[in-house]
Amino acid sequence: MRIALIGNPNCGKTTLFNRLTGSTAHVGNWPGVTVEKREGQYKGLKKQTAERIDIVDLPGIYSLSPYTPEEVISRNYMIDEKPDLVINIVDATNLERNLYLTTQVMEADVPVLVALNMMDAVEREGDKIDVGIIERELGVPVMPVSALKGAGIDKMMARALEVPRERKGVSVVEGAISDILPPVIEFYSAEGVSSPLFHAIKLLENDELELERKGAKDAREKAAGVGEDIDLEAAIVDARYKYITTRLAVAKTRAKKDKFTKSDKIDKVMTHRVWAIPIFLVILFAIFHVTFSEDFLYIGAWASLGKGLPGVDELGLSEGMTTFVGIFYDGAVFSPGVILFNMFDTLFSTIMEALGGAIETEWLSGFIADGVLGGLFAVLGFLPQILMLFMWFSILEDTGYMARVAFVLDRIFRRFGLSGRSFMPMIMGFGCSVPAMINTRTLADKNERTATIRVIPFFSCGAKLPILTAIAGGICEFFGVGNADLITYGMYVLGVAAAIVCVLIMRNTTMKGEIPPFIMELPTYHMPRFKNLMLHLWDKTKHFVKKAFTIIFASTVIIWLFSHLNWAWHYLPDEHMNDSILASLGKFIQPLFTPLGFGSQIGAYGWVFAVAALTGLIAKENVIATFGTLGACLIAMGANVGSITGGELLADEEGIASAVAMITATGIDIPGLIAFIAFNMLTVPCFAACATAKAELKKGSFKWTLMFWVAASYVISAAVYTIGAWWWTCSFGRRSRRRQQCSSF
Amino acid sequence: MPLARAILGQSMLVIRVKSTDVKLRRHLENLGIMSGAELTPLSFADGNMIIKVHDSRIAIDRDVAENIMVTKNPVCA
Repeated sequence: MRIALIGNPNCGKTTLFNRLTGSTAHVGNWPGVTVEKREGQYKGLKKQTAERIDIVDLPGIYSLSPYTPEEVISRNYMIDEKPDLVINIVDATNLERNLYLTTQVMEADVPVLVALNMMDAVEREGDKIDVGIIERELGVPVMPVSALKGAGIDKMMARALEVPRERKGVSVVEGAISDILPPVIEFYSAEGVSSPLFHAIKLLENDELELERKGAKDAREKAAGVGEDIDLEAAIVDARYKYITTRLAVAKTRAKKDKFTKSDKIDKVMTHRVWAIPIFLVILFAIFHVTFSEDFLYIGAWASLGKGLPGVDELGLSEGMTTFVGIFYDGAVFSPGVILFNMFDTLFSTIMEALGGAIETEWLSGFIADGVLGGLFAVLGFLPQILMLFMWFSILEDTGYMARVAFVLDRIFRRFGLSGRSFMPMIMGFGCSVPAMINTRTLADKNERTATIRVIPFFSCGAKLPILTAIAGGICEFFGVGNADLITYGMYVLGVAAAIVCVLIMRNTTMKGEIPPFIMELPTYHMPRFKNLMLHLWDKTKHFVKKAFTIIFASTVIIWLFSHLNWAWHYLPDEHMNDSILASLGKFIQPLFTPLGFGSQIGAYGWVFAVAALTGLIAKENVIATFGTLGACLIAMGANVGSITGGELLADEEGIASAVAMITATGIDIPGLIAFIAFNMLTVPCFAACATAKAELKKGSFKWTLMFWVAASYVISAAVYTIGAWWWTCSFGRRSRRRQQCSSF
Repeated sequence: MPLARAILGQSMLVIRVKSTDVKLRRHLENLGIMSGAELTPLSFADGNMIIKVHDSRIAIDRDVAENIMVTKNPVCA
């Protein structure tokens, strides 16, 4: 038996789906979280029935005349796939609007059960709903439930199994168009079309999908000449709402209360004409500060106005204590994100040291400690920060705030040729491009959708975070300039700016078109749900760890092998890495990156950057994993040759240490490093994202998209390098000139 | 008058939706915004606004708001 869940966006379909199947599908608090159909198996009521029950969760839909691409999925499933039962979920706190869909669902020849969801919220508000009235009026079972609390679900399912497997569609609009409807129904019945009533009404509503159907023209002719003097569409809509207000909505008795709800009052502040955008910027800054800052609340900066705080070395602690305190403090207090990062890294470097010392054979110890673990730990170390960033965004999403941001940003987005609706997929891009690209299905306009898909990778995803943080850390560590968290924010901002510029260009050239109207339902605010949040984080962790031990693991092994084998398949010690297969391949493509500052100008070991960038095409984590593997070899080589050093940080961060090793070995300058981050952030995304883009874009558009990514990343990174190098020599040159002047005295 | 000029917090009745964009008009109908519907503006932000329709809050941009013609709700006035 197949049961499909259908209902308005954000009415709790996915929450109910998770309840029924025990799944952990992503639940969010904004319309349009689910954009694909999702299947699962019902896990309850095993004793009563031996039959397997499949539950299908469908994207939210306001009516069976779809407005956006994801809504088409729901309609087609219900009409063409003919599930054995449709559970129409109705948000009981918003009865009238939700029942509008119900009046249309009733017209199809499928068995229906109506689930009145969020009954707990109705009761909390002091309202009452007489379920009996609605059930008698609709003629199908109506069951009160609370998907969130899990109340009434078993009763509903028990009833669902008793629903007869056959039902003829009925309609509330027949009276309004009684003279024109019967001939069309007759025509469809004679043609053997299933759900003739549904199709006939949709045809008379001038529904686009219906007009495209085979035989639509003939059917329309059957009704030619009748009722052409009235606006059929308006008459049908009117009949539906009249029926709902006079016959169904009377079932609800409302308690006397404030005209404005708590959500309305919060919105007065959060969507304020003037303060909304500053509030959003402050929240964003706070998130990045808590996750990345090495000077939490700027305590260190404040202190340095006076005497300043001592570094951890100057505290006079024992070696063990210095390492321990160094996790939390070094002349400034670290932010929670950085503290977690340091904890992970201390753990990893302890494991690596122990392993490296325990294995005697040189190549084996190199392979395990540098090759495999070096690469793996360089990436895994960033998991806490990735999770923390993800957690803040999940909280904002779960409260309902993100949907407000879409509204607030709409008027700014409009200047760049997009509607605020495209903000949701873009912000999802900070987590992962794959779901973000799929979510663009909520955009009604094709060109807006294509433009959005193309710039989503510019919103730096979790997998790119290690690239930003490791290299930013490396710059500060090696050159002793700047502030690692400011470089990291700066790169995020660069990505967003690149997205804006590219959208602006596209919307004025290849992706022209009117800016689509912005219409979005704003959900009710609620406190973030702990369980929901933990599920999100757990899913993200699982995904990341799985990827680390499969794709990234395999890549590091391959990278290590090819950097320690020459074309004759002989093992090369670290010192002879430059004769390896990988080196000769890397050197071949290295000149390509010369305009970007990490090509031929960075010397004999420069190919490591080219190789790292290439491995990023498989998975972006690979860039830093490759750094880890090759950097560890460089450090090992330095121990022998004596010219290359790794980072000497207290909590010897794996990713940053290897970045420092690569900087030392190649002599790359800061503009080159920044251009390297920019290139990796903006270029062709990982395999998974490319496959998604190909599937979501219209045919033939993908190859242009690939070219766009290559061109955009190349041009922007070259600009970053050129401007950076110019600025660098100017300020550096001025300083040295001043020094010359001084010495001439 | 267009909805964009309505008064914050005051109940309004929709007279008609002017837009020639059929898909847009239908989408508004699906959300409960069509002639005869009652709505209340909750928030304005440079022409963009949030309105309350039935029990839901709907955010719309300035152009959409210009196309929804309303009048004061006589029941509440």
